[in-house]
Amino acid sequence: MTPGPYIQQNAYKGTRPCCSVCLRFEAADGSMHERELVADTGSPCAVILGQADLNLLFRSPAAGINTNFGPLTGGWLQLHMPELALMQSILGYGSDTVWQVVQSDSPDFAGLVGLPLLRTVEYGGNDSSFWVRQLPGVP
Amino acid sequence: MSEQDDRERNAAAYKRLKPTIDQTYPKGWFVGIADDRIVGAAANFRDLENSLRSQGLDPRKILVVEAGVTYPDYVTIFAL
Repeated sequence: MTPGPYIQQNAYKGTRPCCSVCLRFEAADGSMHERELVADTGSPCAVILGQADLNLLFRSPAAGINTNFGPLTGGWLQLHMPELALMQSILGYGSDTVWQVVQSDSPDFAGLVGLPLLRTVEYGGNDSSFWVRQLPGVP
Repeated sequence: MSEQDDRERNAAAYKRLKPTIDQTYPKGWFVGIADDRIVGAAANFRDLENSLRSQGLDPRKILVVEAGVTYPDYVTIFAL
C-alpha cells in the first residue's frame, strides 16, 4: 500500500487557541533550526521571527518594512522542508514586538507565518487541529 | 561601519538602482547590492549566494532584492 502524502497536523495551542505550523530553516552555516510559528492568513509577511532568530537564520539582508507593529528588519531565509516541497528562499522579517505578542499566547511560538508562505501549501483545520500539506502537482 | 549603517547605505543604493535593476534583469531574479553598486545577480537565491562567495563576498553583508518587485513601504499585520 502506498502511503498518503505527508500532512503536518498541529493541535491548536495558546491562551487563545492559535493555528500553527512547524518550519525548518537552514542557516548560513548549514545548521537546521525548527520553529513553531502562528499561522495567520491576515499577515502579508511570509515569516516574522524575533530579531535574535532572524539574526541567527538570515542568509542575506533584505529590504525592511514599516508596519502597525513598527519597523521590521528584512532577511532572506532558506526553508528546508522537503516533506512539504518547501525548499525555496523566502523573504522573512524580524520584530521583537511581534515575537512578544505570539510569546504571550505560548512560549513555544517563535513568530508568525503569513499568507505569502501559506499559499505555497494546502492548509485547513477541524475542531482540534490545523494542518498543512504539499500542494498537489508539486514534485 | 555597523550592520545598521550597512543596511541603511544599501537601502539607499537600492532606491537609486531600482530602475536600472528592473530594466536590466528578468523579473524575479535575485540581485545583490553593496558599496553603492550591484555586485551580483542570479535566477535564484542559492546561485546568487554561491556567486557572491566565489567573489570573496559575505552574502550576510549584501542586500538582496528581487528584480521587478516593488516592496511596500508599509503593511498592516491584521490578526494579532
